[in-house]
Amino acid sequence: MTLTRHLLPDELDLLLDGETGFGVQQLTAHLRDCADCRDELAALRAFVWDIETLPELTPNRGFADRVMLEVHVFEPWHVAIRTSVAGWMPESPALRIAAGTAVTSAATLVTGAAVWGWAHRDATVFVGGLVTERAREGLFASLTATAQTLVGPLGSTVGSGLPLLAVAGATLLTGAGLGFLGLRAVAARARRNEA
Amino acid sequence: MPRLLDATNLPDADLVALAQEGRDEAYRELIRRYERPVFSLVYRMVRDREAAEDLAQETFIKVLNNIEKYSPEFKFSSWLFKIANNLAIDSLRRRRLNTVSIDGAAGAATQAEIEATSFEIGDRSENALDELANKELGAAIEVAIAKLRPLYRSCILLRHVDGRSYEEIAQLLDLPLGTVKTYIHRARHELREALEDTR
Repeated sequence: MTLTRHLLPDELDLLLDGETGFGVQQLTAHLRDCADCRDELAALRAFVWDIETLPELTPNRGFADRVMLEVHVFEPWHVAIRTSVAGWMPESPALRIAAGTAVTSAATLVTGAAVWGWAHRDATVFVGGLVTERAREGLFASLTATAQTLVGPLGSTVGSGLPLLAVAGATLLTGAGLGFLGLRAVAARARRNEA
Repeated sequence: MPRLLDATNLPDADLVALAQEGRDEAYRELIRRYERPVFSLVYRMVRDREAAEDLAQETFIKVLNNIEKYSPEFKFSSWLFKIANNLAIDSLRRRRLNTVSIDGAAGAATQAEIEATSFEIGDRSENALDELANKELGAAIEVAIAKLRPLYRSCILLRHVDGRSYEEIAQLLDLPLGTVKTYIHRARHELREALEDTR
């Protein structure tokens, strides 16, 4: 059944939007027989075309730079790690394979050692304790020797233990303080020269 | 050091993913891709070059500073246009800049201000007379669009200038689909009436 009247604005809109739903067939059939409605739809299409072809406008030059000044580009930690690792990777494929093999071997070795250590916990604790004790003794011996070299007789009167550690610490702090003051003086001079 | 990126051929979703990884080139490509459409939309909403530039800038800053919150189930451009449109509507509400001249910003009082805030409407024809006619028609359309209610204006610009679907516009403006269709229909009707003498 075809329509016996002209198409309404809503119906013309449906055709303009290319709708294909229920009832549109009837409108299309009417359009075939009615020149007025065809003209009306053509005018509507021309009008929409005029809007659609309005020119794009351009912001002032340097727009992107002005935006980027206010944008905080943030690199997540996992990306930073990935980038750093990628930076260490050698360029040539052969070296990459060699580095990959070395890293894989090291990782396998460490994993194997960790698994073995876990399986033999008693032995691990015993060996760990032994190593720690030796390291502590070694450190103490070297500290005593350093203190005796630095402060001479005072080192021998103070002996070992906590007083010795305090003397070593004070010496270290004094050295660090003097180093810091020296660096500051150098930086200040550099700034003066720059100015 | 990350490798240099040829971002021009990448789809928006990939660019957003790269921006989320802190790649500066991806941010810049997103701006390059959308600065003109966003600026055009905002300018046609507020009709003031300086204000449009500020609003377009604010749109990009807002979007790019929240890029990690972007949800890939939506189109990046829809998100961008939604923010641009909201900022433009807010600005219109604040400044009541609804009816203005194509020859410059509403606030332009002197000839210099009018020239500073007006646009050269581009042409696509070879013939000088066609060029003039097109320019006049383009200007008349711009004026007619500027006289629409802000929401009609948003709908018609998003539909016919940016080529968005009705569904997208409804999502973008947080309006029911039927309302969007009605607004576009009414806006077209008002525009045709306004342009009757020009055509």
